Amino acid sequence: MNQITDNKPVTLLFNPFFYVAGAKALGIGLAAILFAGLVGAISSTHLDGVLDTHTGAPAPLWMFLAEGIIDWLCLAIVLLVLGKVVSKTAFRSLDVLGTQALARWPALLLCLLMMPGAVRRFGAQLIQWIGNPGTAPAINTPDGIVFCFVIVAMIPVFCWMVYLMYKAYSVSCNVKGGIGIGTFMGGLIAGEVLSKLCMALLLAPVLADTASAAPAPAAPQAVESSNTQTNTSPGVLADAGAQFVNLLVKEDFAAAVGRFDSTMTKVFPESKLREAWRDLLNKAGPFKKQIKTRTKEQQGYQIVLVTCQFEQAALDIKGVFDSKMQVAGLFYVPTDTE
Amino acid sequence: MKRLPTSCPSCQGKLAVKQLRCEKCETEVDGLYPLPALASMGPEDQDFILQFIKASGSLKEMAGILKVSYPTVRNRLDEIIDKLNQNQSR
Repeated sequence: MNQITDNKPVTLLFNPFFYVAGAKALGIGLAAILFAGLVGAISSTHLDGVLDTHTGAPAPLWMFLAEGIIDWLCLAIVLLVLGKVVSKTAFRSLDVLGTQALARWPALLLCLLMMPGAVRRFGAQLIQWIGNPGTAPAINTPDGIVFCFVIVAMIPVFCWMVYLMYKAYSVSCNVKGGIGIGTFMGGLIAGEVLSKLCMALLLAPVLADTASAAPAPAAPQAVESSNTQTNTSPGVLADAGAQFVNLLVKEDFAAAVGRFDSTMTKVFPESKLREAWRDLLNKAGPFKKQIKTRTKEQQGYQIVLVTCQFEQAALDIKGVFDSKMQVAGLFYVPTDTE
Repeated sequence: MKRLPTSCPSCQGKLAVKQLRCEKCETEVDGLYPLPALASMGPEDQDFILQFIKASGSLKEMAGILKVSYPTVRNRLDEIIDKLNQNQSR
């Protein structure tokens, strides 16, 4: 029927739409998009734009799933409209939607490539360095090698995905040649802009919570009020510190703020505490466990240091307690500096 | 089975029928008769058209028979329509 059928495996790889379109392509494509979202949630890989793939802040699963769906719909709808304008034939909208969904299946491979923790760590270091160009970058060589390998591997996969999107458009709308390539390029750019816009409008509340910019974990996060002197026993203090950290881990910020003294409550309300904690998770990775708790007296203040293991670093969460066992100061510092 | 040639092997020009013969009484008719539109199509195109007619013009059924997607069949049909239009306009 066509020269391309002489080599079916190649056709399946570069133009599967020759064989599959419509509802079947839509089913397979949607399954791949949702699975990519699932893998993305595990590896914190965001597909927040038709052409975007990068590591980012942890977020709820539904957000990763929504990103894939938005990417697909934005490009498919734009190409559907362009196809209606330039195509000389009557085509089915279902074929455009289905083939565009199937064309996104390499995104699953992109998310799998981003799985190694080294990619996230090195990516975070790069972002931190770009955000603070004056500081010397703390480069981890093995992480850097893995990162470079993954980036090199991602380029052909990404190009393949874009080629599949073009073939899906060409086959489903029967648009070829210069007009086909030109309208596809235009549609791709328009789809990217539209998808970014949709992400900003639909996912803005979550993005605001999870992707807020913040200083590095090495920098102490401090709010400390004046009345901090206490004579409580070390055991009680250690328990109070551990319990406070547990509240942060459970993200029960209302209860955590309930343990603040009046000054802390004013200057470090629930929203700021949430922002600081998520910033910490963003930089240090997901919380793993509490390692140990220490208490000490420093310049007359009772201090509890709860050493916590995060995925990418061990940090001390440092709480300063007053005589009423209320938190009068809160920091997080690298554990080796204490 | 011998295929009816539709283009000149020498210059690729369109061929026409010069002589017809009755198989029963062996009467021969000479003249210059242009090939009908469908007969002037290539063998692959003619096969597709025959299958399409047998499938009652259903693209969906054609896709099932040929084991290809619906838009692939439709695009093939569009190509044949283009060829027919070009042949007619010559």
